[in-house]
Amino acid sequence: MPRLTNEKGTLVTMANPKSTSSEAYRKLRTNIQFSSIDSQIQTIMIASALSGEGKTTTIGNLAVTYAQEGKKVLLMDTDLRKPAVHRMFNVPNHVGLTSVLSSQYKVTEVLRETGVEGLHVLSSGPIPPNPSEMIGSRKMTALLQDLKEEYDVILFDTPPVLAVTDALIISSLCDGVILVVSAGKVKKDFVKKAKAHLEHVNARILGAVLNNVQLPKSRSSYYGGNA
Amino acid sequence: MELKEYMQILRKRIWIIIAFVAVACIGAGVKSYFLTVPLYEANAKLIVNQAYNVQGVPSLDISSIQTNIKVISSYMEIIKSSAILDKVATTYPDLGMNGNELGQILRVSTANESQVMNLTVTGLSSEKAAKTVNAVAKVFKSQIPVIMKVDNVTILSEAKPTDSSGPINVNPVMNILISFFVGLLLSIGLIFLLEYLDDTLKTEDELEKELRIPALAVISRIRKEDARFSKQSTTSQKQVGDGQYATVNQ
Repeated sequence: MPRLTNEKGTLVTMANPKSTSSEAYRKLRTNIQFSSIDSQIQTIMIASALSGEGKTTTIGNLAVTYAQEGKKVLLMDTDLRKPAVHRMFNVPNHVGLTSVLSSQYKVTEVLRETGVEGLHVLSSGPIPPNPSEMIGSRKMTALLQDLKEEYDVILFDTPPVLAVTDALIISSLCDGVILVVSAGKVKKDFVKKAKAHLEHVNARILGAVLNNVQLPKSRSSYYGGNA
Repeated sequence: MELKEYMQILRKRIWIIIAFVAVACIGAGVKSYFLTVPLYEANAKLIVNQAYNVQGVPSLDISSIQTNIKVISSYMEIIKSSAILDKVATTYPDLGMNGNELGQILRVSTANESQVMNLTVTGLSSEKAAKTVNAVAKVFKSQIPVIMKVDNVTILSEAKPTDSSGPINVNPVMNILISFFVGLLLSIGLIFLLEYLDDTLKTEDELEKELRIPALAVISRIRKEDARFSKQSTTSQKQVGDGQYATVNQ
């Protein structure tokens, strides 16, 4: 059984599907599904202005809720600079996406099973010297084409938008972008700037997730917890 | 903003209030109990009055009273002059003070439109203060005929060395109470300032208003007890993986 909690984030949807937080992630899943009517959203990336806002936690839990719904889900770690998904799901990272993009391995060799049925993880692999070029490569586009045929949903964990350009490149590969905002932590201007950056490259922002909200005690017991 | 929101803001940073008030109260307590030298006060009253002899009969008329009242303001200055205070110092060497020092601890006041002068001396003990104030009163009474050529000062009441009403400058309860309210006000002010300066996104409404994109979900801080496996999910991995949640809302 994979370890579920670590300093990087918590897979609450796996550990405790009945909790309030898990319910919030299911709501996120539902709202994403409703945010597009005509076009199908198959590839979703998670973005945030700064690091530490909860991208990996959010995308990891979202991946689990999609899988719990019965979908075939792939969670890709495209944060090639500070990867974290492999730690969250406790899978090895000595080979991964970068190994595939540099033609050392086939993608089928580096895909990892997780404790959740239907959820596969593609970890980042060894940290390359040129992450932006790797992500923007034709090989990446081709790889994604292949994976889209395999999976119902592909989710991307990315570096912060304001830190590096990688997230903007990835956004051009995705059907939708979710912006994570850590409540009470990030200045409005930074979030606005991140949003402007994404809009500038014509990313389709599905909406935002307000993370790390401190709910008043009275609300958390509603429908909630283990009680 | 409504009252509830203000309360919420204060409650969020209640530790600031607690810290401020605690520091202020402890500071005031320490100051008043350990760092303040207690001072005592003693009072003596002098009356300035002289009945004029009108045809051999002492009488008191309104004009003489007015004169006495007028003369009091001169007396207040005289009593603080070196003519009196130096004399006090030389006459009572056991006080161990010179004229200047006496001037610093002596206060002279008068009730408006009255003939009564009030001498107050502050000292390190009530006995010393009483002794000093009585000495000043006596010397003043004896010197006035010399200076003014008129003997119209009478000592109305002397300070009694024994009656001690406690130190005048040590009032720990009052000090702590004042510090409490000052600390409370300052901390509340600080909290609202912090809130005002805090330009982060905090609520769903703010997010939608500022970014003009929908808030898809609000995720609260994951509680520790939620992060652990609940009982039914630890028994079987499969139950977590798909189980009853897989197809519920599709």
